[in-house]
Amino acid sequence: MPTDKALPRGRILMHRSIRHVQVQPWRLTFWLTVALIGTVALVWYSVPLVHGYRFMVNSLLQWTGIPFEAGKGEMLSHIWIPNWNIGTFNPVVSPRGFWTYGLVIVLGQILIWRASWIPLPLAAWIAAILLVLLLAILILHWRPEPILTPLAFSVLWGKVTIGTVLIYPCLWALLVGILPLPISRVAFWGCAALVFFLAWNIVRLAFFLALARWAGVVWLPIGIVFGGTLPDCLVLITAFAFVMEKVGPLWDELA
Amino acid sequence: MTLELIVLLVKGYLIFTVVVLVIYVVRHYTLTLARVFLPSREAYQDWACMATPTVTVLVPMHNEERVCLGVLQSLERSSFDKTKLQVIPVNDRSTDRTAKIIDSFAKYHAWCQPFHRKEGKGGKPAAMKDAMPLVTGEVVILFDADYLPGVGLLDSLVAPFMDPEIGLVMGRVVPHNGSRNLLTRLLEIERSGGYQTNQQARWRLGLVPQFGGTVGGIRRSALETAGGWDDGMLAEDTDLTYRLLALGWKVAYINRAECYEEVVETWIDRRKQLRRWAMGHMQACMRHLWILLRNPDLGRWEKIDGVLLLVVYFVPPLTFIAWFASAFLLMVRPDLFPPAIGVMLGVIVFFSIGNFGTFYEISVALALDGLGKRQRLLPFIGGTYVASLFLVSEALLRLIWNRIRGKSHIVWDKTPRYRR
Amino acid sequence: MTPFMSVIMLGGLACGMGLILLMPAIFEWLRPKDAQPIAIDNTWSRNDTVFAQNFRRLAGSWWGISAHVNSPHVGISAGQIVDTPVLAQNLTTGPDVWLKKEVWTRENLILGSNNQARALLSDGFADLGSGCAVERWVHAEQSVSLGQDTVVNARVTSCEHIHLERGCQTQLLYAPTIEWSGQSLPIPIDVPSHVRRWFRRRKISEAGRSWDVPRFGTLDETVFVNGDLILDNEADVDFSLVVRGNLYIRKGALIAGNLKAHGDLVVENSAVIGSLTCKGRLVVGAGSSIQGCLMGGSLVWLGDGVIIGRPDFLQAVSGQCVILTGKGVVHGRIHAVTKLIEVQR
Repeated sequence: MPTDKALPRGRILMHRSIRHVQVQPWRLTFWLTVALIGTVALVWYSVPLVHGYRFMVNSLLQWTGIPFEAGKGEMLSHIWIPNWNIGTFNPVVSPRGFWTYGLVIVLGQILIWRASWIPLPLAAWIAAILLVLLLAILILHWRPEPILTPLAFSVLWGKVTIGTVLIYPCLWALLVGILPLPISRVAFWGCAALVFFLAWNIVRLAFFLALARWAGVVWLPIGIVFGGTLPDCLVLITAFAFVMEKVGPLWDELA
Repeated sequence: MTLELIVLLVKGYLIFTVVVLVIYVVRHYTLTLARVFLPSREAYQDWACMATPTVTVLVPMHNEERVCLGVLQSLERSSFDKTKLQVIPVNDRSTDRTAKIIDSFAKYHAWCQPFHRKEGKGGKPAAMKDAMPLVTGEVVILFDADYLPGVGLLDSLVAPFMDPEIGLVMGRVVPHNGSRNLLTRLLEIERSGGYQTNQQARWRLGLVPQFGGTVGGIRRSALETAGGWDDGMLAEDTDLTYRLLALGWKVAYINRAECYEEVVETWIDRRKQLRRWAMGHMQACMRHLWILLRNPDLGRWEKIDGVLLLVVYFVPPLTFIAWFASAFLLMVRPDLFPPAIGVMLGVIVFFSIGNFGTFYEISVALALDGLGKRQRLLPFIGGTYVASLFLVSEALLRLIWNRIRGKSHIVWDKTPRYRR
Repeated sequence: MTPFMSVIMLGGLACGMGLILLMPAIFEWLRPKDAQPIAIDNTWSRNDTVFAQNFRRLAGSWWGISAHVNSPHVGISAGQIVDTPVLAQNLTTGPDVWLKKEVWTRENLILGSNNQARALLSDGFADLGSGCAVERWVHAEQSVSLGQDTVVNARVTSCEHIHLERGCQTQLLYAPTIEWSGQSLPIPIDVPSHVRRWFRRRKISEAGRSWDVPRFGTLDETVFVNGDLILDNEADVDFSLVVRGNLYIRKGALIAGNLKAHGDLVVENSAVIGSLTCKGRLVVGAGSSIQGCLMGGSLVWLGDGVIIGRPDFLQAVSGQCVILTGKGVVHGRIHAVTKLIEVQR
């Protein structure tokens, strides 16, 4: 009895425990090539890019009314790194300042672990910041003449930023480009992350310079340790999460 | 002069930390790619239902009235031949209704033979040690009381023991209360990374998968040869993994052998749990590191992986101190960061201090599990990462403090249950 | 603007941008769209007839078939192409028929030579002529017989018996009894006459004779051996062995234990009560009897007269590819993990 009703064709999915995808070496080659071209382009256009960066920081400082002097900057290979001199001070030179800061930090440290309503990760972040601040006030009280001045800070910030931006395309290629993902998705989120990364980086630099002017140099180490590349890393992770969120069903098919 | 010496030491420390972290990042990256691209090594599953040694299931229970019936009922539904099965719920000094519940269950199920422990040292290994004289099976399977083993799970876990080189078998743990709150959701995706990517890749590459002390099995003869359970260990699972490795046995990881568990739902409990794991792992590291390095039966890569697994809980304190070391250098000698170091710092922070390897592993695991939107929670893992830096560092300090005071006994914090 | 206000403004901007970055995570946390735990198939256990069972269920609901179908015998003549699913009491086809969709017979199914089909389910027996090709699977409640050079891409299962002729190929076979008739060949590995071997703790001179080496374990004794090992003729072993090299078992040995070799494992005409595992080639020579599962790292080669398992004690044979030679029997399952099971032409 031949019947005219065809069965719907179902897909047989590989169970997740053994699911894998075929390696496609051309992807890594392609994306590494694109990344290298991107890095070369970034180096090639470093002068306008750095000037644009400096212009944006200047604008933010002017807009918020922070008086500053442009420093001479430094050279990283042949890339010029701008820096900014901001009037600042050491708030822990005097014993009063030192003890006030010290007391607040110690109290904060105790309270943060006592307050059960603060989620542990948040408490950990705040505690880590307070500990670095404690280290900063100890050193700055011991050696009142600050070495990490806004000038030195902004040069260091620039070095790390340039280093990170230059390795970013290759990093993206190694992490994301190697996986079987749609090219448009990888390219879009890769570029979006880089743009956001730079924009946020500029704002944070201006913020830490302003903070140094208002609250003193003790805050600058925190700027580098917690406000520098860790938030940059967050940009990468978020972009990565966006790229990967559609991958599950896609890999179902590929497997 | 003193300052210069300190600067030199700090610089050396930072370089050492960077090297260690880069090694771990390369490890995570390699394992992730191996998991994604290499076909699986799951042939033991062909033996499921065909391999039939006698099996004893041990379920340690300490005040588990909320969950103990669940695990026993799940085992009742198991497809494993009941004539070859012995289930021993180990009632470890419970003060609630646990004893009553398991006794009433055992009344109607001959294969369930409860063991009531009235006194003795606290902790899971101590309870299991006392229960061992009752064990009759050739293979001992372990479940925590909050686990819900599926119908075919025992068959899957037992099958690899037909390979005479396998001493330990580990299955995959899947939280069933993952949707409860942010913590459970983060723990759920962390578990995915740990099992779906990390353990599976290590098994695939012939490295050292870790026996987790639950949803796993032990060849009884191997356990006895290795000297049985050590009740002085907090991480008896890691201890056993390395003791059996030293005797030539291998650990098999079966990704298909999935089992539901309950993850902790509050940060306070998470803190206790992580502290216990960290202290136990460090304790095991001190005991086994040297033996592992001298083991002639292990290959080079197995040794390297074994060492990296063993010292993994020392990495958070190392990183934690590195943050302060770099802050110190920044304030004392910022000129020590020449351009090359500046570029390197970027790489380090991206790859290592930011612990990107772990994010990568988790994200790929979620993709392999066919999951989507929960990838967006990845940035929150950064929060738990810093918390774990604190907690693991605290565990190390406690361990050192205990050693200084000559206190060998470590208090076992029981993980609470939340089942409604 | 005061410095304080500047800090507030820039701080607000920096935090705002950070918040934008965290928004997707915050939304997924507060309004979860993907929070369910992954579903574990709790009913899962090894079931090789699952495709046939699923098909039966699906076909039942799709075609509206109740328990009984009283349709006449269907015959399809030579060279016909049938592009609809076929449901019949009995089905017989001539040569060169192409059944483009699934076939389900409530009694017997007989395909002529060189037929092509998608998937075949028979509630009686299924007899496929020579040179047939099946895109997916074949299952019969009674016996399945595959003619010479028949290829089934996925799996062949039966609740009773499978017989394969020369040149048959598939990926998985499952039945209480699987028999094949292929060409008989000598074993493809030369067994060396002498090998160096030593035990984990003590060197021994004559493996297979002096077994007073340290043993591990009490119930399931396992001996670890470094290097290659030959178990001499008529060796009698009653424990498990892990050999970190090649393991050769000569004729007439009797082994009661599980065996593993890190290299090749060759069993000449011997009896083993236990499993055989190796990371290299696994060769079971003519006349051997194995009461246990077999797993080879690459090739699994079964010789003439091999018997594996018992009808009441099913076993599994798995390897990357499996070659069946001569006439042999496996009670249980044969699985080629990445390549094919092939009956020697």
